[in-house]
Amino acid sequence: MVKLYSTKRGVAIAVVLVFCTAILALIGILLMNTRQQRGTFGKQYEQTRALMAARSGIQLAIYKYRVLPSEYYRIHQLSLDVKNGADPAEFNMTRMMWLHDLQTANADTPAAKIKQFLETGSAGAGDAALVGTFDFGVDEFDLVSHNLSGLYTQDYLRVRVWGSFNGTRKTLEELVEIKIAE
Amino acid sequence: MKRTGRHGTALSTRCGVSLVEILVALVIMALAILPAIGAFSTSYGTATRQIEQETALKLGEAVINVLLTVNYNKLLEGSLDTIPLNIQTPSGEFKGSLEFSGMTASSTAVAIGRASYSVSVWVNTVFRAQNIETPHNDALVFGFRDFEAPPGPPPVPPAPPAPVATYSCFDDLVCVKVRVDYGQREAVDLETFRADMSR
Repeated sequence: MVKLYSTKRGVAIAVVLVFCTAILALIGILLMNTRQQRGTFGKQYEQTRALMAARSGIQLAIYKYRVLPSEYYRIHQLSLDVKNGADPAEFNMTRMMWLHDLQTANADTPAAKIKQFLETGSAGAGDAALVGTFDFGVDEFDLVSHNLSGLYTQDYLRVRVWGSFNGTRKTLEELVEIKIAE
Repeated sequence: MKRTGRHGTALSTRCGVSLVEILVALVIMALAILPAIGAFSTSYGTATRQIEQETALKLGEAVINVLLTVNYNKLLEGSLDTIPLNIQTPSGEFKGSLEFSGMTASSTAVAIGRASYSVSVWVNTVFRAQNIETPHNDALVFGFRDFEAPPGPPPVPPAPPAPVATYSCFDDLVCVKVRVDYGQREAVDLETFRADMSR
């Protein structure tokens, strides 16, 4: 009988140890998940800042169109000519000229000055300027026309801009309705 | 009624062993459960902090969106007085207002959940409108460049395209910076730029 009780005691401790191991395993999983979650805000923050940089690019691109519409219509006309079989060399060059000001990678451009402004933290409250690298660039700038019923045509500017903060890159595309005088 | 004999001895031994077993089990369980409680507490704290951070981020984004739609001239002149803010966040509603004083603004603290959020805004002119009578170098200038490669071998490193003409803009371009404080060590700072699209 004594031997039997002794065996039972061993089983009881073994069961407790199994329970404890299970609890410790669950704690381990919980801690690992918690640790993984800790970095998510940082990523979200970087993505939001990248989107803000992209939005700056959109503002700059649309503003350039507003102050220099005839320059852009020339590019648009060239793009129509290319569609009709013309040589794309001139179109590519004028398009490159148009987009040159809207890339932070190009020195002495408005985009580069905006980048510098963002990175030096001179936007007020300089004490909390976040250290980081901002970049943005306009990938596409097109005029999209929709022919609706009758003679009605709806024109849109389609701007696609990428923005990046500390290497985290986000792309933003905006469609702006415009009215072109005949 | 006291039980003696072979069985009595055995029963007595069993009772003693059970008590020791229970005590040992309790100690072991306590050793396992105490860190579990700590881990749950840490996890809960992390989750709560994340919710607060996300709320602050959404709040900052929403305020930027509001500032991108307010009257540009008033924003530039610093004559915006009060802008109501009714922003729905995942954790609750931010009902307050931005009180402008020149080119800066701040809101009163609004409690959402257990955290208290307050918004500050700075508006800075990055590019100043060009003035024909008194020209300056702080204007936004768009350039027209010659991308044709010059004759001869290409220089190393390649030179940037030469400017052919420039256009100096007659509007300001401003930087809008929003900061959301929510009781954490680091506040949320967001910046974007706004051009005058009214013309």
